[in-house]
Amino acid sequence: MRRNTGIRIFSLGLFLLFWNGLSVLLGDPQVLPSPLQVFHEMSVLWQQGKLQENLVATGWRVTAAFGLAMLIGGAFGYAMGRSDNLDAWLDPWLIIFLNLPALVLIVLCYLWVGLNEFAAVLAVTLSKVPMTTTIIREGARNSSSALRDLASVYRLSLLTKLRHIILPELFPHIVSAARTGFSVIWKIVLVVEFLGRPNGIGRQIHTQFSLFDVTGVLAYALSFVICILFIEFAIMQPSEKRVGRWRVDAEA
Amino acid sequence: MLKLDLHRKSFAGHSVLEDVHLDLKHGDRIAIFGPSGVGKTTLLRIIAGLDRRFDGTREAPDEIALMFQNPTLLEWRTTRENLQVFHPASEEKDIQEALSQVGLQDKAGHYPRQLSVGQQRRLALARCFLTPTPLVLLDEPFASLDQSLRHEMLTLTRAFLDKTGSALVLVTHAQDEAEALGAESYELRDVLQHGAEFASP
Repeated sequence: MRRNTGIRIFSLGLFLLFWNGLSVLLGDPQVLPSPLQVFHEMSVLWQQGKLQENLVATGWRVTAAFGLAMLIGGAFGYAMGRSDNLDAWLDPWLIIFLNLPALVLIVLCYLWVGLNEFAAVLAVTLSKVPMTTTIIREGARNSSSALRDLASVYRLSLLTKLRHIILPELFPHIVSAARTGFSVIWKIVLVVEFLGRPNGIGRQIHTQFSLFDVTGVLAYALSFVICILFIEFAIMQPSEKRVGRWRVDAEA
Repeated sequence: MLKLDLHRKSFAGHSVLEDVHLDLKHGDRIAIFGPSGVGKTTLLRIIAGLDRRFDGTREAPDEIALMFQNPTLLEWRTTRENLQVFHPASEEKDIQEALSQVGLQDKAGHYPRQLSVGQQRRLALARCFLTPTPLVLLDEPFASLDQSLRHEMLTLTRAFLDKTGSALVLVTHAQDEAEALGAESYELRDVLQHGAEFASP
């Protein structure tokens, strides 16, 4: 594990070296600035408060859309996985939404709802709900009917069933939906901001694009990638380990 | 205590059970046996209240204990938690006692996959009898067990039933299991052909 961490850090260092080498080779900071120039730009933006302000705006949209997509997709997925009838009714809708490009949803939401925060979060949520529904539906289909029967005979409360049976059974599928959801949602949020919000990383990338400022584009993009990596290592992976600890203990 | 008047149970228009009448009092023990596919488990599900789509009436106690052939444990919960979840009102000493009765007192912190097949079955049995209930339903819990484990499980079940005085409905392929538990035997095939009543012996 420690050896792997060393390899990862070394590999990251190689990437920065490669970037720096390419920048030197091209010799034009307006086409490809060096990593140091980008980090300097990030520090300037941070001191001006612009970076934090836009990161918070984007972060809020990602969080809201992610939470809503997990809740709505989870509920629909579970219900469809448990009821063949409901699945037959809703499956064609699911296929339509699964194949609807995110860009179309974004444009339609802006056209129908208006250029506002609600439309932005709605568009991202709608883009992600079908995938979450599909993954959770698979988990619900494979869940144990004998356990549900036992829970019913022993008259367990809904809360107890959720906590001790439904959620632990669905856990691998919830993790899978969260992972794919998170990785897709933040990219869609940038497009939503690019097209119609007054703030956020996507909007700033739009502004820097208008000014042909590659350093600015990279500074905003990189700062957001760093945030995502932080969430991945500080929140996603530890929570996944914590909830799935029983597997490790059971196999010890 | 348990009264079932089942006129007809059908799946997709095809009748699977007809004219089955049950009238059990506290402490009664019956065993329903018969070949696979004859409707034994369907009948047990109706008695348990898991299947309410049938023509007829059912009166049963609210508290029922149920055990399947498969131990059906929560893999992600420890042995102790497997009992706690299904018996939230039980105190720690009751859980410890139940674990001791099935020889799992040292395994309270283990997960089901760390237990042997026999230990998993015994845990399922402890879950079934931890809180005394008026009615116990067993769906082939001794099938596909080796001889010594089967004997051990039957002895434990008999001891639990004698202690709690619960009524028993056992679904099985083997008539000797009914005898070991002191249960009156009924063959479900006859029920389907002639109609039958399961009443207090």
